Amino acid sequence: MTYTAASPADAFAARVIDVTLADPAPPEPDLAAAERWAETTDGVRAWLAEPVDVDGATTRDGRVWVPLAAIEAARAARPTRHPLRQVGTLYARAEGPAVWASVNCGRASGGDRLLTARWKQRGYAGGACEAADCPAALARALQNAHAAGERLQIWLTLARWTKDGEVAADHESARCHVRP
Amino acid sequence: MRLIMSLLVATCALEPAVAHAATAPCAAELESPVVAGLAERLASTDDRGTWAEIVDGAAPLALDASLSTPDRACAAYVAGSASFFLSDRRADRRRRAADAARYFALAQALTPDAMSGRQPKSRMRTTWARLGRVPGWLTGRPVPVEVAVPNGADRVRLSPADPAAWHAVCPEPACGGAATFVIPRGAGPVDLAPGRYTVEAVGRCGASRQTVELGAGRVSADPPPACTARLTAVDGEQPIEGFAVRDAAGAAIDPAAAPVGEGPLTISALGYADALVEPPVGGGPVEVELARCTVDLVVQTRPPGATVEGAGPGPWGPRAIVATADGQGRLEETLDVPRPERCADARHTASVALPRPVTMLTRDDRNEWVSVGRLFVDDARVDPLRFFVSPGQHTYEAVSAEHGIARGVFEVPPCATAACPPVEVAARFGPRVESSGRSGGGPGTGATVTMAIGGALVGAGLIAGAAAWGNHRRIEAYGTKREEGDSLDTLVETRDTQALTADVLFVSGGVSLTVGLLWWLFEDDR
Repeated sequence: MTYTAASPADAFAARVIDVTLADPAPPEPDLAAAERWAETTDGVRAWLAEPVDVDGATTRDGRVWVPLAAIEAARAARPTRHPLRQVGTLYARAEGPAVWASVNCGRASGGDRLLTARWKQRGYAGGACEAADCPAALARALQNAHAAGERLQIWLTLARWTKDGEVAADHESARCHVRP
Repeated sequence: MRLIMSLLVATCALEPAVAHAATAPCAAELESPVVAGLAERLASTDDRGTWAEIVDGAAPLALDASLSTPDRACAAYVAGSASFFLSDRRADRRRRAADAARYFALAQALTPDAMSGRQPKSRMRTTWARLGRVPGWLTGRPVPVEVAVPNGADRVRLSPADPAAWHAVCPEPACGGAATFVIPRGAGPVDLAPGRYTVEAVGRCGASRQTVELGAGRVSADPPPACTARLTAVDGEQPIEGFAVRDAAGAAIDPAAAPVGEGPLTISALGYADALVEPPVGGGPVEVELARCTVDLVVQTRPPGATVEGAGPGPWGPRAIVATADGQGRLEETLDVPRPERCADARHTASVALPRPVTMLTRDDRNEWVSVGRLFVDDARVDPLRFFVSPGQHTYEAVSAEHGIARGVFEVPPCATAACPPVEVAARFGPRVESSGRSGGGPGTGATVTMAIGGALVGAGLIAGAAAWGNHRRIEAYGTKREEGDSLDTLVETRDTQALTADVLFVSGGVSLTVGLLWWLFEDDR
């Protein structure tokens, strides 16, 4: 698979899109994935690019060549997208913290990595989760609260992507209420 | 076993501005600002202490009959929700859940539609689940059951057939009695766990009761007992016996169980005008005042043409009349007008005779007029010159100071004509009495004898008393038996006997004297 771009960074971005966001396998183009990439923040792009092997590509005549087998292997571990009702959208992998593609919960912002979450619904038992378990657990909690017609309180612990291109050592907290 | 009752209801939420608020108990138009404030407060707080305060504030409002139904339903739902929130911890869970179940059931009974949403349904289901499993309670997955409210009933009460199971779950006083769930008319299906239920259809005048094995589908409760009225007929304060009740078609009705709501009933009794009565819808005792028939009282007088007051139309029963006529005595009498067989044209005729004037003609054996001092007719003293008596036979006793007493019988005929002269009665005295046993004011023979016997008895009493006194003196001066000749006991016995004899004689003599004296005085008065 050969990527031709104005810069190596653009070529790398195209490669990341192919192995993380694109639904049809390369070389089929996925314009929707490109649009989603364009809407993401730096923190999300960094999270998506994390597992992409930089060394696996060969640069020749300004073009970046990646073995198709390597791309297919990387796509096997594509992140999953979790839209959460009224809260936002998470990208998550099998392991590690998920990242908020978009979020509407207190001080949280897109690109923040979700370390832990807990929730409470008045009159009912609450719950908590960590890292990769959170997207599914939060989705279930939101679904239960909606079915019960109850308000859900959510507390998030986040790791924020800094302008320096790294994850901040200090964690952020965010809290929000989700109405049924 | 466990009772799981969740009602199919629409959405309800305490949080404002949600799409399903229109069917929520607290989103309805509330009149009470207090209830609205409690609902708002519950929506905005997560503090357990505040929840407890809200329960205390909302619970009495839920039972306040002066509030509107939406206000009460909202208050019940707020109290139930706050109790439900408090039941999320293990400590005190059952009691709080039982409270929540009671308030939710009340809210559901008040506004079933508003309690059909996701939120109340979920809260109720979770509440019942927290009550836990108890032997004897209903088990099984809830199934939708249509509860038919029969005609004549306004609601159906459902409760577990074994109330002990409820008490086992929620003992007194926390839950205040057995669980009862009220299904008003028009409510939708309810989700009930299959089991044994007591079903009561409550009407205005009682409730039917049956125990059913509830599976699924439809429950048809027996209709409640129909309302009946217990009719009594009265005449003033007195009850009327033997009255009859008939319906509009003329069929006889049992007065003790007269139907209500089926038109007016006719109450009839002998001697009374018929009365129409429509028993109240609620039944119960009904007292019907019947009016006595009007009877035309016709009074025929002797002499004819006397003026009679009190005659004419009027109710039967005692009737006071006054009859007067020129030259005749005044008659005041109470006539008993009998109860007529029929009210129409009832008439009663009575005949009365007015007292007639009587003149007593008193003469002696020489046919000379005798002046009468006192005159008694039928043992009643009257004016010797002229008096009135009713027609009939009468006795008289005329007393003359000079001729003694003349007794006799005379008869007064009724006056059959318009004008009747006084009746003349001749009384014949014996010869003039110059000196008799009573002349000079002395006592008569009988009185004299009686007083003489009394005097003799008193004299004998004096003798016996003197003898007793003598023996008493001997007893006081008693020396020896040889000197006195009698023993002391003998003397004492003799003295007591004599004293008793003297007392008896004194009393007897006194009585005789008193009787003789009274006799004398009585004779003198006559």
